Amino acid sequence: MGQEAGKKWAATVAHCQCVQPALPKSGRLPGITLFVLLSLAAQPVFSRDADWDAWSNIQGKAYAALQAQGIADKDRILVHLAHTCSLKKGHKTYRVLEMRELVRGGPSPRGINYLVLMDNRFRVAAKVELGMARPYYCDAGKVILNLPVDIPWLGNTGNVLVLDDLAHVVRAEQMETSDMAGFRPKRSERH
Amino acid sequence: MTINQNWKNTVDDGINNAAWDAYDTIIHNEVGDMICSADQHYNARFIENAYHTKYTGVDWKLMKAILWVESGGPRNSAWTTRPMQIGNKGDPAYDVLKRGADDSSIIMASDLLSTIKTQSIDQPELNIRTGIAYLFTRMAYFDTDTVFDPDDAKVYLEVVQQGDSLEKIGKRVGTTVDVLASLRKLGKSKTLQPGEKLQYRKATLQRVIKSWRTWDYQNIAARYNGGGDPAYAEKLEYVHATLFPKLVR
Repeated sequence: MGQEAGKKWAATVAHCQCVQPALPKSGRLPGITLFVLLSLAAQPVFSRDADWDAWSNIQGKAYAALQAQGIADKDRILVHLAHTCSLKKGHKTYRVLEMRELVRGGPSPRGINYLVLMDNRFRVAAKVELGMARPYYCDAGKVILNLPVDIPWLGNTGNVLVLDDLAHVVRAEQMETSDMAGFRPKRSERH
Repeated sequence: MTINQNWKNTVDDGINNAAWDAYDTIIHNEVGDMICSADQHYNARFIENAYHTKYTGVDWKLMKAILWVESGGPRNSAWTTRPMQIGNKGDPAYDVLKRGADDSSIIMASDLLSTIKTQSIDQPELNIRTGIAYLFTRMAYFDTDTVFDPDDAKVYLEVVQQGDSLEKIGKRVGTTVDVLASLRKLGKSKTLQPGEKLQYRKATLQRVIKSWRTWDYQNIAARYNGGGDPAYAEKLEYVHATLFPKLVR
């Protein structure tokens, strides 16, 4: 399908070239060069459709698994399901997913928003209610969020979720945005 | 986030239209005024136990503002069925309360749980009461703690036997480790000696309200709406702080 779309896109561009009024000689070279460059740039993008299809496939499987495990609900509208990052814990890799659903009806639909940790076999290891918060990234066994979330079983609030080897949240800590990875030089470089 | 003008026009209708006040009595009776009284409404019940939880009372008009935001007003069909939007398909809130889960059984008045279980949630009064109970459940912090037997204030004495631990004694005499340790000079730290005398009051470990989140628009939006409507907090503020003072009745 990607290659087909690529051909169509190339044909459209070629057609545009045909119906365009002839450019003055000085303007033709940049036009042709642009076309060649665009074609070259477009080529690898079209060849990655398989990757995108693979992600859609994984996303579908993850959503089905979330439904089967009672976290997602087919009566709600799934508006967002993304793989934020992956965490290595012991010998296992956990996928950190951000899931957002809306309850139908009403002018202000209720949001059911979860951070879900799922193993490679699509089994949910942990879930944390996100509310308005969003996960940013994973860092050495931690998940960093933009806003603090409540961890009711710990009686704890924070935007850094510390996980044990089973991917259970064992602690929530606070971190300023300015201290997040990539926002500033590493501490050792500051001194 | 800016509030949509169409939405503002809808709720602005409430300034001159008294139909928007139709459920005031239900809400007021349920939440109560911000005073300690003998009534069974939320403010009276929770202010009475405010020593540990620091509950200072909630303005019932906050619930009215939620009702306006949730229902869209009397012109909306939800107004006469599920004005607080509890019980919509796929909504976990209704199920939580029906099961008394997430410590909601501590929050709800005694009659409410049985009414939720037996009656249709598509009745405005029950829907509003359930919505308020859900919000209170979501605004509270819960924990497991020692609760003394309210009908038995007597202090008992127990003699430690060979092989006893505070856990064992607690189970045997009907109290908790914390009670035994708090009335013991050595606390939990030192090993029990056979023959040692321990004082205790009858108590059990129970789920209790530990404290409350701040009753501000942001927290209410996050806890009741769950992040579904990014403008929810602003909508609440608009209705509660801007519109309500202007109501013409």
